[in-house]
Amino acid sequence: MRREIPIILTIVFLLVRALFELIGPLYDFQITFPDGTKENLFTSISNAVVYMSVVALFMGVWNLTRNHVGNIRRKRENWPYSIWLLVVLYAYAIIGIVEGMEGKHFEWIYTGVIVPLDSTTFSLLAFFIASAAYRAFRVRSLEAGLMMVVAFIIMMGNTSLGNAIWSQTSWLGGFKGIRDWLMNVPNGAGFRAINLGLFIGAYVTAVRVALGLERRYLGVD
Amino acid sequence: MEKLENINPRWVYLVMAILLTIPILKPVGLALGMDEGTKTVYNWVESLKPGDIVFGDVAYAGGSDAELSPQLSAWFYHCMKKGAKAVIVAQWNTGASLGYKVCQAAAEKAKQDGYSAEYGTDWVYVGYKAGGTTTWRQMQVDFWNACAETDHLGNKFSDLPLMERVKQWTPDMPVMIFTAGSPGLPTYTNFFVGWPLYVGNVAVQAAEVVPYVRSGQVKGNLLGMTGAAQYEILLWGGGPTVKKMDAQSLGHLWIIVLIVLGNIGYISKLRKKG
Amino acid sequence: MSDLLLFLAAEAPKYKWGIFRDVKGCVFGFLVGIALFVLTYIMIQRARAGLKIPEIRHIPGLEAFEEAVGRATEMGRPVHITDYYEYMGDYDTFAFWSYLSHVAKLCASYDTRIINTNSDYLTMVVNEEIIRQAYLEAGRPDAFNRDDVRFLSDWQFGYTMGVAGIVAREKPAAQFLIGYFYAEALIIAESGNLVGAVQVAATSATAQMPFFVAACDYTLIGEEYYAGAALLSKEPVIYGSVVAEDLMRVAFYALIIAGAILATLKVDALRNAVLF
Repeated sequence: MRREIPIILTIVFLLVRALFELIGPLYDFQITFPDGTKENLFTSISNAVVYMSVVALFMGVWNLTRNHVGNIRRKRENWPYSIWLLVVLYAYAIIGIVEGMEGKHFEWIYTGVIVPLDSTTFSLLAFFIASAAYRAFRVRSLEAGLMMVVAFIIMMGNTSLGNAIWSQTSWLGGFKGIRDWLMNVPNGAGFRAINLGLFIGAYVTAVRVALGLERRYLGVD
Repeated sequence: MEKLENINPRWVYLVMAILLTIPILKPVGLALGMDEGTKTVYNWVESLKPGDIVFGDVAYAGGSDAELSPQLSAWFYHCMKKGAKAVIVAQWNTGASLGYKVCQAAAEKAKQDGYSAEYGTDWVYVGYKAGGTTTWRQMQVDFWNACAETDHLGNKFSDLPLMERVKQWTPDMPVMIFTAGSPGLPTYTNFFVGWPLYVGNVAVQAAEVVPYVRSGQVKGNLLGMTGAAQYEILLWGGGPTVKKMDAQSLGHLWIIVLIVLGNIGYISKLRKKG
Repeated sequence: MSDLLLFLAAEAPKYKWGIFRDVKGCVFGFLVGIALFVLTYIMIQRARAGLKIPEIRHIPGLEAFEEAVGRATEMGRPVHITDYYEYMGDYDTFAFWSYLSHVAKLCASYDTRIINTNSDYLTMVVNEEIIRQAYLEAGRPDAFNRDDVRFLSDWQFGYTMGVAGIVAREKPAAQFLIGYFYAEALIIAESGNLVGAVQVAATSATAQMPFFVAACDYTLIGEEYYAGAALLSKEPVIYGSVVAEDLMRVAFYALIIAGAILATLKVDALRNAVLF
C-alpha cells in the first residue's frame, strides 16, 4: 500500500487538474461553505496547493539547519561558514516577520546585499561565456565553422559596434538585418521543431504517470 | 602559436573585466539601431487610452536588474504618461521589492513631469503571491481571492480604488512580462491563451522567444539591455541605459577575439602535427 | 453531487458542446489528447504482449552515464547530480527522477558517493527517498548519507553559488545537470569544468542548450531528455511509449504540412478545427 496510495493520488490529481482546465461546469462550479459563503471549487483546490507549498518551506529550512548544525558539531572543513549561514537564515526571517516586506532593516539587507549579490552572480555569465566559447568554438568541421560565422553575425547584430561597422540602414539591413533573418527563419524553425518534440515528450511522460507506469518517483522501476 | 589554444581562463576573465568597466566610466557613444520588437511595444503603449488597464509582471530578480529594470522603468513611465492604469504582479518573490522600487521611482519621475501617477488610483503594486502558476491561473477567476485581497504593502484591495475594476483578470487587460526565467513567459503562453502578451526578456532568451513572436502569440518583445536602451531613445530621446551599450559591444568583441585566437592556436597545432 | 448535477443542467448552454470551456482550442486539444493517450496505450500494450513494435532510435549520450560514474569510482571522487527548479508535479521533474534513480543505482552498486543539490524543498524529499531506495536495493543501506541530499536555496543565484561552492570543495569527477535550467546553467557547468568533471547534461530548456553544448561533454537535447528518461529503465513497456512519441511527431508534422498547404489555398477549415 505504501506504493499504491501515492500512485493512485498522483493519477487522481492529474485527471482532476486536466478536467478542470477543459470541462466548463467543473471550472465554474462553486461550493457553499457552512456559513453560507460561496467559493469557486478551483479556488479551493488552488488554495490547498498554496498552503502545501508554504508548509513545505519548513522542510527546506529543516534540511538546511540539520546539515549545517551537523557541520558545526563535527567541526567539518569551513564549519564557521555554517554558523554564518544559520545566523543569516534565521536573522533575515525574523526581521522579515517582525518588520514586514517594506521594513527598514529588511529592505536595507535586500537592496544593499541581496540585489548586488544577485547581480554579481548573474554577471559571472559574461566571464564564463567567454571561456566556454573560447574552448568550444573550434573549426573542426564545416558545421562548426558555420556555427561560428552565425555566432559572429548575431553578436555583431546585437551591439552598437556592429551597427557602427555595418549600419541597419545600409545594404541587407546590416548585421542587424541578417541577424533578424537568422533568428526568425532558421532559428525559429529549429526552435519550433524542438518545442514540438518537447511537448510530445512531456505529454507521453504525463501519460506514463497517468497509467501508473512511471513509478521511479517512488524509487522503483 | 599553439599556446593560443590554451590561454589561462584567468587572463580571459581579467581582460573581460577591464573591457566591461572602461566604457561604463567613459562611454564612447556609438549609435544604436532599432529593433521591430521595441517599436511594437512602444506603439502598443502609445495606443493606450486613458483609463485602460494594463498588467505588468516582475518575473526577475536582482541578477537581471541591469537588463530588465530599465525596461520596466521606461515602460511604466510610458503607461503613466498615457494615462493607462497599471497593475503590477510579481512571479518572483525575490524580485518583488526590487520591482516595487523601480515602479515607485518611475512614478515619482512621471509626477515631476506633470503626469498623474497616484498609488491606488493610477497604479497598484500587487507584488508576489505564493502558489506559482496555480495562483496566476486563479487570478483570472477571482483576482481578489487569489491575492488574499492585499497588495505588496499590505493595503486592502477595498481601500484601493483601481482594484474595484480588477475583480478578475480578463483578456481585455494585456500584460507585459519582464522575465529572466522561471516562472516567466510559460505561465502566460500556457494559461493565458487569448490575452495580448508582451515580453521584456534578458538577451539570453532571445532565441527562445522568437517563435512566439513570429506566431503572434507574443505581440512584441524588448530584448535585454539593447531593448531598454532603444525604448529610452523612443521615449526620451536617450537615457542612462544607452550609455551602457558600449560596454556590451566591447564584451562581444573580446569573445570574437578569443574565438579567433583559439582557432589560430588550433590550426597551428594541426599543422605542426601534419 | 446533487449541486453539481443541478449546476450542469442550468449552465450547459454557454459551453462548447454543452460541456467544454469556451476557450480557443479546448475541444481540439481534448480530442488530440485522447488520441495521443490511446496511441500510447496501444503501443505499451503491444510491447507488453510481446508483439512487434517499430525499432526506436538510438540516443547518444545515454551510455555516458555509466562511463562517468565509472570514472568517478576509479578516481575515488563523488558524483554530483542536480536539476534546477521544478515544482513537484512538473513533467520535467518526473523525467529527472528517472535519471536520478538510474545514477543513484549506479553509484550504490559501485559504492560511489552521490551528492544531490536542490532548490525545491518538496522535490528534495522525493530525491532523498529515491537515493535511499537505490542504496537499499544495492544492499548497502548504511552507505546512504542523508546529508548528501541538500536543499540550498529556492533563490536562483543563492542555489547557483551554493552548487558552485560544493563543486569547488567536493571536486566531483562526474556532474549530471538534468532538468530545466536557466542562467545558472553555464555557471554550474563551468564550475564543473574548472574541477575537471566529466559532465553530462540533459535538458528541455531550449535557451540553455547552446551553453550546455559548449560547456559539457555530452548533452541530451529537446525530446531526447524525455525519451532518455524512458529508455534508461530498459523496460519494453516503457519502450512502447517512446515509439508512440515518434509516431505522434510524424502525425503532427503531417498536420503542419496540411495546415500550411490549406492556409496557402486560403481554406480555413483545418485552422478553425484546431482553434475550436
